Amino acid sequence: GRRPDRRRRCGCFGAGKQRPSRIQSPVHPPSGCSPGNSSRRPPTFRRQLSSDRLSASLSLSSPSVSWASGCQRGMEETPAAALTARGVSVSSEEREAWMERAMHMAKEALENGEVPVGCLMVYNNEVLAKGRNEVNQTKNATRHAEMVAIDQVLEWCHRYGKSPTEVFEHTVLYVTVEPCIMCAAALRLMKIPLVVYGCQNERFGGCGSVLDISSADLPNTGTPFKCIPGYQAEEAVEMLKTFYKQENPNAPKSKVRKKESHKC
Amino acid sequence: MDRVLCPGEHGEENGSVMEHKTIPWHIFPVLSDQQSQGVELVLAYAVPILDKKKTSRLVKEISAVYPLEGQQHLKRVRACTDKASPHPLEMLICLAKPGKEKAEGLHTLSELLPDKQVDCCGLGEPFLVRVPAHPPLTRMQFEEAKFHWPTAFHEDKYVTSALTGHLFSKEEKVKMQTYMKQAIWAAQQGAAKGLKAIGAVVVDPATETVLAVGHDCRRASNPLLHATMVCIDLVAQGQGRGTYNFKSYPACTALPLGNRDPSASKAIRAGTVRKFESRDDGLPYICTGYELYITSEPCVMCAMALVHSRIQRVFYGTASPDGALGTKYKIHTRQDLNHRFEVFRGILEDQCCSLTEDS
Repeated sequence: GRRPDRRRRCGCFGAGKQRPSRIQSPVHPPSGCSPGNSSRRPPTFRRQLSSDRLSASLSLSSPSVSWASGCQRGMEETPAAALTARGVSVSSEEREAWMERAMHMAKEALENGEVPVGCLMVYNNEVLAKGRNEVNQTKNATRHAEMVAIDQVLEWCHRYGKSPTEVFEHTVLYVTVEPCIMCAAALRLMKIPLVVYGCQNERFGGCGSVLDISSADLPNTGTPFKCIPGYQAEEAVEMLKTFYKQENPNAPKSKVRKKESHKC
Repeated sequence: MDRVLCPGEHGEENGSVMEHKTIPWHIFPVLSDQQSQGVELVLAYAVPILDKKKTSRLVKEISAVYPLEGQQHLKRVRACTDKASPHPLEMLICLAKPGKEKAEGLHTLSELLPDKQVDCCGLGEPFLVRVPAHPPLTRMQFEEAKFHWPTAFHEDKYVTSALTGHLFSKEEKVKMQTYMKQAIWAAQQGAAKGLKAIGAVVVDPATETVLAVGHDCRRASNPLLHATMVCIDLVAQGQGRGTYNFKSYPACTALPLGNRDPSASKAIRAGTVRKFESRDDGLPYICTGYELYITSEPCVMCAMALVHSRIQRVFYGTASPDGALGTKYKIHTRQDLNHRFEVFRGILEDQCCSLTEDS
């Protein structure tokens, strides 16, 4: 009858709804890495809008939203300044300065009607890549800001005759939103040691929000990386909320919205 | 009976000569953990019904005290499993707290059922049974569950036919084999260039059109060009966009929009096959409704890329050590992601497996 057909269309063998499979990890801001903000829980951006609409637009866009949990595991919590992760060492001042720039990029994107996610790849104090979401323009849903930035770094390596392995192993990613599962896996494959980000990505996050790819035991998928979440998280969330109040015209329409429009 | 036509492989076509072969592979649905795990049991109190005539009154009264709200799948009364037993029926009262296995911790009937609400006349002394904690989702789970206590089962015929291997007809399997052979061919072309022997094909099932053929292109200069990522970009290139240049890999091809059979696309508009939202240009969102055939199981990056691309089905040959569509994760079944899709494993498994072993 009807049920199998419907399932076929929405895929997935109608997985049981009665046992949620969600991984829930406690949210603890790492001490000392979120100056001026450490007592507050950085905000999450999720389902303030119709969930379908939000998710459709978010995946069309870039990584997305919120604030971390599992990924701080294994991070040395040096209260003072420098944080060392496999081959890179960044002081909290540096981190703040780069995140400030990433936030500025996100703001610019918002002002130009783009998904407000900014990301920078920094190597030896030099910005090798400034990623921006290119999903709509390429019709390729994998062109998230991080993926675009990785390609820019590869191009830089090619231009200056550097070994990508050597460069990526000493590169820090600064991004306003927690990387999604896909990007987190890509960052592992590139062997990036450290990711500093703003708010948590409750819908697609790959650094603890949905799955913790950053620290998972995946011996054939690059190396794990460290995360420092919570930088100006509230501002990052606010920008995304502002963006998604308008509709993303490129995202597929959700069923909920279609029904609503029929009623009118 | 098992002999089917096997169309010639891409690249070694010799026109009219068709090979006769059996289908030497089996197709397995990759189900969610909830669907594929064994039945979880919890302890519960049951009582013998000594006087059969009082059953309906007792069910009514006991259900009022213990409605078993989280266990609607459990039937309240069962026929006694022991034929020699003096009582004919047994009734479920309530769940027991864990750790009640020892006799001294057992509740008596009067402790479980306060006098005023239930007239316990006709009941024996309570005993512990193990009952299924959750409703069974597959026929296999149902068979196991009802062995412990009778349960309701709303069978999903689609899942059952997938599990019993009856989901696809022989004709469909022949088509699948053709697509997978194209993926294997692509893998071999990649391997000949010193690349990882992984190939993939994107198919529009509504028109039975191959939209993209690609192989793994990862090199030091771009380590992320896994076969899936290549194919996703090739589909975008078929729509006039995309990001990468695959000119040095002639086996990586996309079918341009103009080359699609117009009668086929008319069929899409007229039929009801496609309920999903088309974009203004008449094209579905990225890979909506499409199928991916790939020789080995995608990694986490590729699996999530397929979620973002809204793929409908993935067929892979052989599992991968860090695979994310069955092995390490089942990203396609997660309720907390915004898109789910079907995954099947095992198409031409032996051939796909030997590809990865060679490289």
